[in-house]
Amino acid sequence: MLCEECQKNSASVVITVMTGNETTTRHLCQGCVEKMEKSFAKGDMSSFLSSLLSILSKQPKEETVKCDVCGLSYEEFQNSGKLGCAHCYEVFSDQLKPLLLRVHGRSQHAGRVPRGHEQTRELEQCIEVLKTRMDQAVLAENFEEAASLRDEIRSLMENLNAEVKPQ
Amino acid sequence: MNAQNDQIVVTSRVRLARNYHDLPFSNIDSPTNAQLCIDRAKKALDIFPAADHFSLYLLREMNKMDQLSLMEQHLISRDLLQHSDVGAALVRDDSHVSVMVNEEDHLRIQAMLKGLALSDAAGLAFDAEDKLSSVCDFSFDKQLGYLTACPTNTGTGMRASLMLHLPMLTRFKQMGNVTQTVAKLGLTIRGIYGEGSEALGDLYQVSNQVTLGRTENEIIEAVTAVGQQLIDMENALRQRSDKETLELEDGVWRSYGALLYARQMDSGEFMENWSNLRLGAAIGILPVPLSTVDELLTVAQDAHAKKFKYSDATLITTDQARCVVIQAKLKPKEE
Repeated sequence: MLCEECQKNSASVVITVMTGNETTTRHLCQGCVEKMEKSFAKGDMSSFLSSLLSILSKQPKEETVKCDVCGLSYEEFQNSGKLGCAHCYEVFSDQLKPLLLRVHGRSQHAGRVPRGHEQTRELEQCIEVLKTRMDQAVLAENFEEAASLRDEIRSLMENLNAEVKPQ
Repeated sequence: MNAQNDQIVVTSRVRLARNYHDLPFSNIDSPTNAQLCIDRAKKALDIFPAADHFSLYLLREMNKMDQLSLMEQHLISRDLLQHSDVGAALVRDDSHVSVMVNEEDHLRIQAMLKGLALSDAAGLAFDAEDKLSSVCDFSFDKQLGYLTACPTNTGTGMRASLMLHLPMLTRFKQMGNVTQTVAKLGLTIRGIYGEGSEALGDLYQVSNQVTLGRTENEIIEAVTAVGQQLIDMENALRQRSDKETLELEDGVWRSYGALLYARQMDSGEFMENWSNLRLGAAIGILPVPLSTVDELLTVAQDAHAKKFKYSDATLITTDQARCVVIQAKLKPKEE
């Protein structure tokens, strides 16, 4: 999640402010928090409070970011329930992932895939199986087998990259 | 077993939501993109042999009555009627497969068959999907599957639904419990024209809610399993004691009488009588084939009756025309 103040760095601090019965939570990056702390350290209470208030009164990130392809904002999506284009799934990915999980209970597609995607999927599944076997071989200290599995995985990864590139 | 299922399952439908990868989802404000989607879909389906011939319906070129009549045949949705300026439908000559263009998603591919036949219907839908994707790729993501305008369809984009006639479960007020149980299984029950519509004629649509993280087969199995359970519950209630049978038969024959001899009937009354007619035909009391009963479900609806009224100058009202349509189907030929 991005910092709700600067919208640039990833948020690492959560500030929760309780006003009466209302609880407001904001996610900020280290830099923005330090700026606030400096004004506090200077004893400049009014500056500290105003920066805190300005953060709290700001609209959350999802209501301001727009899809750069179709121009839809997350707020518009919340009102209509409909996304504007395929790119919206990437732009609003942080908000959509939990939503999709809530609706469907799962987050990984398991159904049909378009032509051309079948081979990719088979390769990926194969690689997963080999990785598990390699881990087991390492645990069993069977390093010879592990090395041979590693080479096999490497070769499949090369095939996979060759499959994905032309897409 | 199949015949027994047909006594309760009216139709099985499978629809797939798909969007072309290179266009925004909604074409309501873009007639150019809307036309592009129509052209692509038509081109894809035109490639195929005459046996699979599809007719194109452009909603903006049709009057309201004809549009509604397509909805009564379940070939298009209510939502497509809202977008009639850009909406279109491609309908296979046997009506088993139809493709709505420019609804919420670019394409809504639908296959519909009589009775309990979700797997077969899915096969038809996938076949049409393969053809449609030959002209332009669909929006697809490795993790999320097929991308759709509404996240409730993301993944398989598939809705598998059974239209069930459940008069006894309704009469014995079991539908509240059924709805709750079905919801717990990730499925939903709606009225006959989809979301928000009433359960007219004791008809219900059971369909999957979840589209992501399950395979198409898992979805079909889940809907079929619940359908089968509802069939068993409805059948158990249809085996009644003698006294109750008399009451039930009385209702069935009264409805049959009204349908045969009434001179005007509104759609609400028709649906009530239709439900008794289907129950009577299913349990073998009435001399009417189920196929005729199910045909009435379409041809005696408002838009169809209205169309018939305009074709015959002697008819004054739609409700009167409805009775003429019904009686032409129900009365033995010699009368």
